[in-house]
Amino acid sequence: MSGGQDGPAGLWDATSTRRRFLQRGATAALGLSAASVLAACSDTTVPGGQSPHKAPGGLPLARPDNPVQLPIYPDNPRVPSGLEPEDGPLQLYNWAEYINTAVVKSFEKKYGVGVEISTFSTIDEAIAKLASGAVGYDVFVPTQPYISLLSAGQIVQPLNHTYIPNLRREVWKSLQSPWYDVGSRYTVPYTVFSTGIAWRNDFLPDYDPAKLSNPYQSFWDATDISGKVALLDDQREGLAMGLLRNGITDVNTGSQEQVDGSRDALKELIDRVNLRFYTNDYQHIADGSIWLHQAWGGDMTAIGYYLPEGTPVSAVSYWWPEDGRGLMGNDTFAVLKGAPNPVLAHLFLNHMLDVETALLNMEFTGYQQPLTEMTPERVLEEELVPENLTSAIVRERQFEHGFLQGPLSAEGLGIWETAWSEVKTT
Amino acid sequence: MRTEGGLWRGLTLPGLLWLALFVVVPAYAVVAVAMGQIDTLLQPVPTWNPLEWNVGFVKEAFTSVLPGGTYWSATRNTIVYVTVTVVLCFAIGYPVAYYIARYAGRTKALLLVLIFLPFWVSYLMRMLAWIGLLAPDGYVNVVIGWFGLGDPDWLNGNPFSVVAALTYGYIPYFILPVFAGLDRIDQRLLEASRDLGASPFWGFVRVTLPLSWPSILAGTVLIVLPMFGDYYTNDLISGSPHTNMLGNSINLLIQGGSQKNLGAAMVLVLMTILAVGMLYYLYETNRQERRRA
Repeated sequence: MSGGQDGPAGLWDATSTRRRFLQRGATAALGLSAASVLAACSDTTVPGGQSPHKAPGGLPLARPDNPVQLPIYPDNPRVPSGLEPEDGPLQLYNWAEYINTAVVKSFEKKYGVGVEISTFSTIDEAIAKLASGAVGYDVFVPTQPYISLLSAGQIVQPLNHTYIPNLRREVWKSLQSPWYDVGSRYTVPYTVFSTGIAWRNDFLPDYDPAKLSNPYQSFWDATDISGKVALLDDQREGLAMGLLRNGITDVNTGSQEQVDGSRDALKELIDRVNLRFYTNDYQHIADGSIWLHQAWGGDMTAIGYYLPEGTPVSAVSYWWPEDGRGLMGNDTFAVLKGAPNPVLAHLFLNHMLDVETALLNMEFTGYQQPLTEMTPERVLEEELVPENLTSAIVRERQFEHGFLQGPLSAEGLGIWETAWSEVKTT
Repeated sequence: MRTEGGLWRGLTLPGLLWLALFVVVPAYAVVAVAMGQIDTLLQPVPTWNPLEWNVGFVKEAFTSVLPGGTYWSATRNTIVYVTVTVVLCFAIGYPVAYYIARYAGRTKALLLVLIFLPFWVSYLMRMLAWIGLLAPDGYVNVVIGWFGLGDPDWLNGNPFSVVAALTYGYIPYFILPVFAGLDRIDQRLLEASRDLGASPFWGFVRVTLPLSWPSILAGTVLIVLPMFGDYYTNDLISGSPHTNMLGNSINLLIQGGSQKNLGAAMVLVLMTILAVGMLYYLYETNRQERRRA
């Protein structure tokens, strides 16, 4: 990380506006005395100064209607073309359980190198570790909204596409130069996924969100199955659910009013249905402890592995709007700055964008990759998705119309984080 | 004599170094982060120089734990759960300690071992066992069903379950110091009280209880300190925002993106609350010492 050494220039301006509840809330007696002792000190809680409405690093906020090309910094150049791959071992820093080891093995065989995998379970944990600088990983798997942050912080290095021919050959046209990273300067796509509603149709035979005018409202109406209802334990997904229920489709909104509206809706939901929060939706849907769950489509395609004996896959249903106007997300691959094996890392990215690799990978992860030949038909043919869960397959057309999560401004991030903390401490 | 004093002073050095390295430095690091800034990667940057401290997070943390603040419910839950747990530990643990100290005779050591036996199993495993017992179709509900007492939902954000689990988890650490205290009481003092006409009840109230007071306080301190920071018991047994304690809030903030500074500031809040309790403990033990002298 460069911030610590750069001094104040690397920091967000400390004299910026404070978060609103500080202005609103009464200052505590203890706070007052602390303040008087430290009267000369600064008083801020936000990294907002340089430009609270922009993405970190002063970049404009990338949106589908506002594509952003991430800058390339002189002290963080691309790796030159035409180099031989290093001897490895390749260091992969990935989400837990998010790659098929068979796919890793085939890479090892192809290039005669070893691959070592380290895992993380939250993106915050991962960024904190990478920002500390004390790591020697090559490949990282960031969730898309964090890409601008990582490039501005020079955590990732720009890509040299000559090593990644599969980007042009295999990837969906719409993601060869996506709006969040025009020209794929820092990332190539890994998975695409929808966030929808999963339910146990054996316990809820009459339930079908497709028939409802506001499917999300059904969570608030599920008072008769209190304790069996859950949302994803994820700030962006959880609050987006509240936004959609309230009829707001800008799932990257920076509006205090809208996010607070979602917060209040979720707080109400907690009281109404004794709401639970889980990230392992597949486990809770499978063991029947939850009947109605906000869920990731990719997790549902793999649900068969988790269902207890005697429960057929057909007992699980998954809804995501037919017209594609639903919540979506995507993960990406990036090469870290200071990677010990940068060329090998590029080759790994290329390997992962091969359709055969992707199909083999999906067998384990359940997550689909945005590759032209990874069609819904092919995925069904290979029996990677059960017949009754085809709604979990993402199509390119849907991806273009879906509500894709994107980066938030520093101010927006503060609003979302505060709202989520308030939801989680009812 | 002087060299001997010097020797003993010298022997405290490793302990002092240990304290400095593993208590003072980390505590100061927490303060530096709480009083620090956030960098472009949304990571906390500690401010080591007190003259440059930023009080924003600390002010926010102290405001948020007061009534009306974001974390007031967590503060309230923490205080209520910990208080009830201490009362339960006293009600259950004191008689046990008393029995072992006074009446166990030769089985004393055996009973103590038996009390600690379940604690050879890891804390996590014991809590997971509770989940099995308290599950909707678990043994607890089966037994309750025999008496036709309904089918309570123990694991869905039920504060009773949280308090029960905390009590179970921490009670041995209460029993042990209380036992040690009771065991040390000079029996001749009790005999004297009887000679002076006190009934067994008044003998207990006027002699045993006051003499064991310091050990009760010690046991309380021993369980209150870790309980204030406990979040995993709650996570495992409840998992609902309704029963969140301060430990859960700190855990959430530390993992919540750019809120790590606020998380560190919340740790300071916790330390302040505990410091008040510790000051009382020190005052009380000091008073006892002086009275004895």
